[in-house]
Amino acid sequence: MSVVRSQLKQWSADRDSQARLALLAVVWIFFTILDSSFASSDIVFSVLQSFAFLALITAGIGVTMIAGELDLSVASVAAVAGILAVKMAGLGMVPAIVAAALIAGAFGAVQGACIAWLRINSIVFTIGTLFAMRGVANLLTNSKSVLLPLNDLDFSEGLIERIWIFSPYTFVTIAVCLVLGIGLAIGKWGREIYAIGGARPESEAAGVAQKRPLIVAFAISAFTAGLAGALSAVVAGSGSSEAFESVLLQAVTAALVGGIGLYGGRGRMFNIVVGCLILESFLAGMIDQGVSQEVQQLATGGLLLLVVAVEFLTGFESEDGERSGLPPALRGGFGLLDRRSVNGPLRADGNQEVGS
Amino acid sequence: MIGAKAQGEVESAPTRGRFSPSAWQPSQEMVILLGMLILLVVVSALTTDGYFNSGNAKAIIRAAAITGTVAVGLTFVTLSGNLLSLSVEQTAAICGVLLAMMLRDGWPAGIALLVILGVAVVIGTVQGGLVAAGANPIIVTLGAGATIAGLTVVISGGHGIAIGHNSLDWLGSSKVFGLTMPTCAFIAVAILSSVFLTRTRQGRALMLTGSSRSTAIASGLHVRRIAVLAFVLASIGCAIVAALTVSQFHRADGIQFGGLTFDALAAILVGGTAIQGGEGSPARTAIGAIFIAALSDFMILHNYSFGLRMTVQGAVVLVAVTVFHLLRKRRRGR
Repeated sequence: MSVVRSQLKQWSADRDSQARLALLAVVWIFFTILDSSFASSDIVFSVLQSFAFLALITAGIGVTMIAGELDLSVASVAAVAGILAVKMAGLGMVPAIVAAALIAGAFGAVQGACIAWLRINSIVFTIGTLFAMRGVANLLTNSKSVLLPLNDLDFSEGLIERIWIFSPYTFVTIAVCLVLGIGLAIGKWGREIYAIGGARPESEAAGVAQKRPLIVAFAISAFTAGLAGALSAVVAGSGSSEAFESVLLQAVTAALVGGIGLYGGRGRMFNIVVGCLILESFLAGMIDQGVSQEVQQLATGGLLLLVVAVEFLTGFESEDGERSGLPPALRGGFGLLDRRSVNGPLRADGNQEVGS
Repeated sequence: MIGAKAQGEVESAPTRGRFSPSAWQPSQEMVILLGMLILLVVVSALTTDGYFNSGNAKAIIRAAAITGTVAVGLTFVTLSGNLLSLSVEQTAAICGVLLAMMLRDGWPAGIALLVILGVAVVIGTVQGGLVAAGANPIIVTLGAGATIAGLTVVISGGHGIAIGHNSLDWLGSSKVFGLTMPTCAFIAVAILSSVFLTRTRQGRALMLTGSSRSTAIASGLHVRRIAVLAFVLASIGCAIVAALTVSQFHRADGIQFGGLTFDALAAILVGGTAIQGGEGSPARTAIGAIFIAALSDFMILHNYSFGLRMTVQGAVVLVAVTVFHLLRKRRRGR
């Protein structure tokens, strides 16, 4: 209990979280000034509905980013899981959703094991699986949509039935984020993920397991993506091979707005959740103002670039002004930080020593 | 136990650098790649009637040309140690839409081409500049891609732009030695890129930066300028493809180049360019593009479904990155 209390105390004193909550408030005040009917429980409810999907995906991709990697395959995995859940509807809806998410999680564990064992860059590997999984989605559906049997649509409606501003779907998302957040903050696996993301060579020297956290991180990202895909497909009543293609942009944007460090090892689940709320509120505000979908996309892309720029203006460069701490995946994964592969010994800050 | 094993692997020291200035020597990767391509052609020929009729080979090269031209340009980003770009299809689309609008409004072809070249240079400079400042290329190009795609729809009003006969018709229809313009452009871009990389100061500086950033800095190279150069070259590849496509099909829209980014990345990865940079060549990327085109030609001839073709292509990329990665590790481990 005392661990939980100290975590809570840490949260309440966390400037990062306060700044993000303030930004969330600013977004709501801004759009309420533009349209006084914006701050209504209806809008909050609909924001939370789209939040439920985005937060699951972002929580997973955020965990891989904290580990200093990046899982680009989440959207394709979500599409496959959605199709599987609809196809397995005969098992009963809850078992079908859970099974689809678990299959996705198992796939993620294998993917993480391959990345850890081969010591390969996660970006190139997940580009391959992004493509292959989209292909599998097409294979499973023969490039058409698969529909949920009509008598299962009651369950779909129950999933988004309104309970005040929540729904069963949002409760599932909040529960998953809570479990992941607590696990990341106080679980051993969570600390390992922060360790390999923040300082991989040092963590290796200190004896932190290098493979297990990678497997766990990629299993989590595929599991949450699978769960999100399955739930959303069931809600929509159909699974499609084309589904969720634009979610990668939104998830990466939400994760960065939520303060996930570009260098790995930084960020917490609470802020990821707030980041998702900020992005979804921002999008809802634009919809409320009648902004077209393309302009929303433009604004999301602009927001992403803005966050990147702000991140650099607020100074995360090392003293010599060169990027030293890019996460392993973004500087070439294990390949570059693997001491065998660099041309000289590593300095303590991870920079390669020149010309030895 | 796993941790202990990982610790043991950290010991041995590197024996040789990855930077090799002579890309003309066939590398291990090139040998494997050509071998696989020949194997694929032989298997296709044995299992398909009339495989060697003149149309088929040209169809493969034609299919490879568009992807290949973009991929060769994108190779500079990877070689310079800046990973990759996720915004090439959006860049090509905005160039195509702008070009079509200018031609529709009766601009001279030369001016219109210069304008889209300028737009491509600006797009490349902005992205390259952000990356040079230290931002992550994946995230920058993901954001830039969405921004450019949104702009394209805003500019075009969301409609396709059809144009009649115009001053750029010669580009779409003329042939050199019986080869269509996209094919000629593909071959020219691949050769010029190889020459640039191996025979010019800037090209070698780009390779060295990707090979070892700290050595490049210590040698007084402007690594930031090189990052900008790499992204500009990639964008110019997109502009070339946009001009070729618009002049050939007489129309442009925002989704004309859907899937181009991942096809181009697949060509680069199958070509065995190291994602860390400094290792690979435009020639290998070009062969990679031809390999993927030949593979998809084979699968289409054998009536594979769209889903199966996509799955196989993804699996080929996975196998290629794994094999080339292990190959490099072994070579370095010696």
